Amino acid sequence: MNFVIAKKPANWKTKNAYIMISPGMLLLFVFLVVPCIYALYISFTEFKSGAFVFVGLNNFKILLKNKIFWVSLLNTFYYTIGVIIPSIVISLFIAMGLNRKGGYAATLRTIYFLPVAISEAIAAVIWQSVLNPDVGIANYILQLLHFPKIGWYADFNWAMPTLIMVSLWKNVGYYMIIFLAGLQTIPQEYYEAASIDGANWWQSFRNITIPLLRPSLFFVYITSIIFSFRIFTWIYVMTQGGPGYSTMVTVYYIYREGFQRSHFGLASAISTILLLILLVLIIFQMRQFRLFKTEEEFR
Amino acid sequence: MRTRKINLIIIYALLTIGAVIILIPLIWMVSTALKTEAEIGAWPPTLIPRNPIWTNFAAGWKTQPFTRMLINTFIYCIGAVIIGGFFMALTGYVFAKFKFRGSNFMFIVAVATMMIPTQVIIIPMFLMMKNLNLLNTFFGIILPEVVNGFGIFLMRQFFLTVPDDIIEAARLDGCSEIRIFFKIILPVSRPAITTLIIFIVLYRWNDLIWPLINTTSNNMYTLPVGIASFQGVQYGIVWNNLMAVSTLVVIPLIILYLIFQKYLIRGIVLTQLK
Repeated sequence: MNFVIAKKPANWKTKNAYIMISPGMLLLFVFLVVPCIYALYISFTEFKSGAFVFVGLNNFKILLKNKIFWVSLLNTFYYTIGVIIPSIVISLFIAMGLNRKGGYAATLRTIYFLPVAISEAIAAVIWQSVLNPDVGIANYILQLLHFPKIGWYADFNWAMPTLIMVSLWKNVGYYMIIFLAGLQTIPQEYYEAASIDGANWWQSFRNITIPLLRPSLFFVYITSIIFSFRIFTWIYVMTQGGPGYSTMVTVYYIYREGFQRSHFGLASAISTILLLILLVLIIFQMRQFRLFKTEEEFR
Repeated sequence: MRTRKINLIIIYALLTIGAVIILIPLIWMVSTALKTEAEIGAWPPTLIPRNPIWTNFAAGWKTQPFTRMLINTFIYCIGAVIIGGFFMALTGYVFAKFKFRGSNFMFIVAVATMMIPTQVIIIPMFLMMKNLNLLNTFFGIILPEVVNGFGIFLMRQFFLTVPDDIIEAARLDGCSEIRIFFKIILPVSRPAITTLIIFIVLYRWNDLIWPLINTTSNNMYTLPVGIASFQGVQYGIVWNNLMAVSTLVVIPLIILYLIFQKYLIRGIVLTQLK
């Protein structure tokens, strides 16, 4: 048997690898990478009476002068930053609190994780009812606590914080699990040793938890950026980009220009610019991707 | 010691309040589903309906072809699981166990595609589906993103933990590579495959954009699209009907979640960078 294998050409394994990987990579390529390139092409055209006419950089010129476009970029960053920081802080707090055995902690973990199972569209509809400025229960609770009523998604200044809040509701449990997994890899002896040395809670948090939790922190950071750039469903259901343009984020703007106004060229130009921004971000993060690859080779 | 105990009580009080905030929308959903329209519009709102109207569930379900949408959602998820699940597992396996020219580069490209927001490709994808005559078909909804960086990454992370010895042993026995994958690898990867399936179903279940743009008739809608566009077809929103339908959809899912929680959590742990 060994003899037969030894006679196979040296690259037979590679050949097999190529054969096995090609259908998956082809599907990835055709339904993810090709559309990106296609979007680039469409962004140089205009859709006129059923045909694409080449217009050069015209769409980009229109966009750079378009105020809504710039507002949408600003809103995207507002939302992204508004989500990342509380995502990390709140879910880390929950994870540290619930990182112990016991029935009650397990019950709370289950509850925090529950929204992950609820479709975003349905969650958005439910929240729309909860936050209804006139008859929703959220304002009733505020009234019971002697706070003024809030317009939530119907208020120009509150709409974005409302979206941030509801997406935290949906995703905090997911991040909590990531942090819990990370926390469980930290040996308990480290904390014991630190407390013998007289370290207080904050010192052991800063010098043990944070450094050893770095992989989880990085993962939550990346995931929340990805989720943030994809925000669509909440806006589609709850605000449609309004009131005013207060929740008009770039990806919703693409949808509106493309599908509600059939401005395929302009919408694709927005996609192209967003992709370029993301490409810069990806290259910026590439070092981190490399980092975990080389670590893997050490194992 | 005493301050530690007090701290613990404060932390748990906060965590309990947080858990209540998580649950309020769900309780509110069930409550609204059972109310009359008059009670929904009343201030102050009631949490427990005065006269629960149980017929709201049947009435709400009939306002749209929701049964059809439920079936569509099933087909959509199963299709994505079969096509995506198989090829992502295979691709992840190759990335974990084979080194060949370009494997690093291809893997980085696959992982990098995770960063692409879906909406960036909705227009080209819609046009592609239109040219392929796949609008209003299941393939038109399933194929976009059917193989994605996340699933490949997840499976590769898992297959890295499978010892090389069992693969080598099978090779020495003269097993072909694809046979090794089917007969040796898949049987030992049941937990990872389960996790991958849950992630695909969750992704499709959360997804609104593909069924929204690639379908035009409500006979091809999925449940999320049907519920999200409820407001468009009605004069104003009939909240008790909408919430009744949401309840009917959400409650079975919560039960499923309680059953599969273990696998889901295991999967999330698996995706962590170590």
